[in-house]
Amino acid sequence: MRKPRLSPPVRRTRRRWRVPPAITHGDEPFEGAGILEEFQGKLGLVLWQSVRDVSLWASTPEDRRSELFASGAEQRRRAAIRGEGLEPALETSLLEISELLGNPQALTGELTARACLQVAQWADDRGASATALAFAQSAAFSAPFDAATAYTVARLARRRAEQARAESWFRRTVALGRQSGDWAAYSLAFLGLGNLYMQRGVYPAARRFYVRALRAARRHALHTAAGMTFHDLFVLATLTGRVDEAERFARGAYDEYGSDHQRLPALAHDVGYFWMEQGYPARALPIFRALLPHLTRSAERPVVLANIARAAGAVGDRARFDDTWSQVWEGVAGGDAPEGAAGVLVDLARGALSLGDWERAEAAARRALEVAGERGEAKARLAAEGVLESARSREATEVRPRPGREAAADEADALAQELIRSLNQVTVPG
Amino acid sequence: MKIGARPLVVLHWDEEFRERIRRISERDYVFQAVPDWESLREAVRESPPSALVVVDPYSETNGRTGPSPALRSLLVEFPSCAVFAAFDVTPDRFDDLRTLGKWGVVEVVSLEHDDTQLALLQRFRQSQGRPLRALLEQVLPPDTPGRARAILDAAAEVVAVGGHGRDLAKSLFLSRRTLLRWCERAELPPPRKLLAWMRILLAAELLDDPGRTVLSVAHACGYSSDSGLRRVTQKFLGTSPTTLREKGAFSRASQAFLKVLAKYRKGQVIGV
Repeated sequence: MRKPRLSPPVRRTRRRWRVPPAITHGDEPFEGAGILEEFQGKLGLVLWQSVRDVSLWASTPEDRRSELFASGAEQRRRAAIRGEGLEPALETSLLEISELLGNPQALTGELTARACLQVAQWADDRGASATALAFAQSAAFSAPFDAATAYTVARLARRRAEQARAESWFRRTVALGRQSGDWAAYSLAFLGLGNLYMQRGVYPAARRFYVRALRAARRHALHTAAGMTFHDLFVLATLTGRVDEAERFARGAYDEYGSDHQRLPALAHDVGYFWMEQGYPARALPIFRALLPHLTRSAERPVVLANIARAAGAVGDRARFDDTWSQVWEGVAGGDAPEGAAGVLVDLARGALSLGDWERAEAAARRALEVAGERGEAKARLAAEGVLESARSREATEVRPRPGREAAADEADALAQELIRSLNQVTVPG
Repeated sequence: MKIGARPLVVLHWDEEFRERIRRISERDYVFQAVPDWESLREAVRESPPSALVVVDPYSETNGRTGPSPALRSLLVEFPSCAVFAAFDVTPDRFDDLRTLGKWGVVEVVSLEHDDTQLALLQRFRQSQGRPLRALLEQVLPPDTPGRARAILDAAAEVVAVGGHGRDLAKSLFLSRRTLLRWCERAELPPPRKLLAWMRILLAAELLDDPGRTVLSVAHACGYSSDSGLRRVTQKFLGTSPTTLREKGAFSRASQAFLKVLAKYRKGQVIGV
């Protein structure tokens, strides 16, 4: 029997590793200019100066850092920070950063990075994505070999739709993760690359990255990362029409997440929606119902309710459809429609269509068309036009299951049951 | 194409600050202090793309509040020029700071804060090729891989200071062989060809500056006359600098460059 390995494997190659350089700027005219757009006045100025100080400090050799800033710079900055009456957590982090002005050699890269990441988190919580990215990047400059920090930069850049910048930081994370043995960051970086390529529509490349993410996650028993990768592979399989594979990946994601993972509701929703699209509303309906208590964000509730309405319509459950319709319709029928309202309306219209309720189907589809037009949502507009056409010509459009998939039905039903059981067992947050 | 030492042109009232810049410029730059905006304009017109300009944005504001309109005119006339604004950054100048960004200032030096010799040197180094990088950023297709962008970014920096393949490799901390491999993997032309294209883009960027003549662009790019520049634009873009300028030099040059990149991405390598 093979003895279990207690120490990391000895590196056999003598080849030098090169960490790809990352893109460190977006379209801002000068460093940190995005901060000035997000925060005004003295606070904006303090944040802008702090982020520039860190990157200047981090780009200078350690033994020369004492020559960087003018004398008295620290006192002036501390006075400016204290005079602002900031939240204690932000004030503490900014004061920590200001130490590098007076005593630049005393501060370590790790401490500076931590302070910067705290400011980045603070900014991110307030939706100030440019500020969050600038501080996260400064943190990455301060701790240049930390894969997790590089991953944070990549994630923030991707959220700002700075795809090239995000990609360069993901690649850097891969290299740093491999060097330092931070396999969680390594695996998540591949996952991030996969998502980037999926957004670009380069599916084969996306799949390759997902497979690498999955391999790393499984090799190092990173269940959350493995679950997330299976989840994304599932989405990719649905996009590319690989139905059998999609179900296999959904099962993989469920197994890796376990029954009480925080991402389980997201997986359940995606799988339920997939089954709806495949013509299995009876399988999807109980999943959507089990999901309802798990929705913590107000924007999510109408989406799931609309799915319930659509599934109820498709299985002929008029009472449930009526009940759900009345819960959703008021919020989306008039006034300023919230984000995603067009999709919600299309699902309501489809449910009504399945029940032969042509008036309601037409009303929902017309409103969906209006909302999609206002918000410039081309995909929803197209779907709404299709449903409106069907409502006017009095024909139901719900998808029928593809023939020849009976063998897989047992496994799919079993997965559905397990998802429902897990959702019902898990304590709902808040 | 050979670009000489980098001019560092300064228009600033603070004698002590000017002297500090003069001291740091001894090794890498050719220092030149100018007394007013008009002299600065003349200096910029003849300077190579690697030139740096440090100004006090409040110099000669003629009683107006906010940065000097002369700075704005300079940046309109020479958008390819790397201009640093050095001033006392105080809360009441917050809006001016944003205005300077909109005008195209590439970096701000905060007096009495990060105006030490070392800080200035670091900022000067970091701003290498920034105008060209910004232009490239606008034209590259969104699906350009991150690795390719990082190399292009570094290449823009390197050509702005007249660098070559070995400088590009050095700036990326790679050996020349590894750089070649990286270019292949990123579906880019080999380093020499890539840098040749970057020089063309740089020349095109300068041709779009309304304040420069074709001859001054040729001089700025290191050619002794405009025929040298004409030969290169003819070879790469099939047209003369004058025609190129009439039709939007950077836009035409970048389109041709993107076509070349697309061929590399499809695996149809061409000779240029």
